[in-house]
Amino acid sequence: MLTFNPFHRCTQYRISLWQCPQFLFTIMGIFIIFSSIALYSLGQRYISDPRLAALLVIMVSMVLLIISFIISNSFENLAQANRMKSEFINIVSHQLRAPLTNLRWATQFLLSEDFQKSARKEKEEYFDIISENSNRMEGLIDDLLVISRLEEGKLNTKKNLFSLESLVKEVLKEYEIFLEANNIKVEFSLSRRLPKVFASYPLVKIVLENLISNAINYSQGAKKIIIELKRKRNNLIFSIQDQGIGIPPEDQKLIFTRFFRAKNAVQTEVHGTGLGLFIVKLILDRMAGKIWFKSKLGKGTTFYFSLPIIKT
Amino acid sequence: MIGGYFKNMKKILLIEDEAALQKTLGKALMNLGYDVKSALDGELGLRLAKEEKPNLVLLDLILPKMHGLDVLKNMRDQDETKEIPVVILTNLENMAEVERAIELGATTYLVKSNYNLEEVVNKIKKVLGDE
Repeated sequence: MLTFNPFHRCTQYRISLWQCPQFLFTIMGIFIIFSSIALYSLGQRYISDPRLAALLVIMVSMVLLIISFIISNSFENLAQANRMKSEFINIVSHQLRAPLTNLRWATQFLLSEDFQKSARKEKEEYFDIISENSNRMEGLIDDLLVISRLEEGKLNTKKNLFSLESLVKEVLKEYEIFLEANNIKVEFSLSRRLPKVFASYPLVKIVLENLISNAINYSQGAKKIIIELKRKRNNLIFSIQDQGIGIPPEDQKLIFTRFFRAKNAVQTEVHGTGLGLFIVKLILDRMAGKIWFKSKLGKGTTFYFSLPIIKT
Repeated sequence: MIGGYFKNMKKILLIEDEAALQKTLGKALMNLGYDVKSALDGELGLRLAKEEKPNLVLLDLILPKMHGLDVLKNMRDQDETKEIPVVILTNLENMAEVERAIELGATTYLVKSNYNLEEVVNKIKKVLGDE
């Protein structure tokens, strides 16, 4: 069954109705019809002076001109959204090319004659390359699917009541190996009797996974990560503090943009997708929560997010 | 015969942060008899270029510590490295930067994702004049 929705392009790109060309054209059309009928009726009855009639026609034309101008501007928004989509696709294919090249050349190397003469130990390195880069590509594709579904509103955001504290503990358990491998201690402090949050469990889990893995990846040496949960009026506030490299002030406003990696992060050679914080912000925006951070270069960063609590 | 052996001991400096590429491209070139030096970041790459004075530098653009274009600019500004041929390795993500690199004096560029390992190696041999 076809549904007739002339504004679907705008909803797809999440452009507001007043910026949507199709909607504005409809308004313009309605305006033309009404003003024509009104002018004709009024003209017939009240207006004998042709100059007055001319003035009214000019006024109507000016209004139409203004509406047309607004419409052309709105096309620009649609074009921009389209451009951003292609740009995104470009960046994505680039991100996938690097691990793919690694994979291809490693397999070609494995198949080459020279290689047959190599030692067993050496051979394993190449299988590792294949495995690592396949995982890298898989991680990127997963992130992209999450973003795509979030942006189109298709991700299952069914909410339920759950304890944020238990979810945090669950995610920490997932990362236990990495914490141990990097010699990082986690301090987890909670206020007493925290209420449950009403939110999407899988989405909050993604937020926690991203924030915790960032804290681990950007911590240098044997350090601490401090996690706190506390209630502030109608919100539950989660904070995670690391003692890592910090975020340079000039990069702070870009930290939630796609594929962004701050200059000092690139220099520590962390191979992530660069999409983590972008996803986190998308999710929290979707859940009417907030995300913010404080950071000092060389000292560390604290990320905070808040989720609304249902008043019982 | 001795001449033949030394002909292949040309030095190649591979400045590339993907360790996998050092192990595949680097090793493939080594197997052909080239003396391959590796650098995983721009700073080290520049230093090795000055110290080793290789016959060819293979330069990635996105590098830790110093961007590929800065490495190139530094190389072209200094007498000891001014004449060394540089081939940019790229994955097509930054063609504007590649053009800038050619302006700055890079010899040519190679799009990694377009070629097989063997093809890339052959192109490098060609640049070195070792058909």
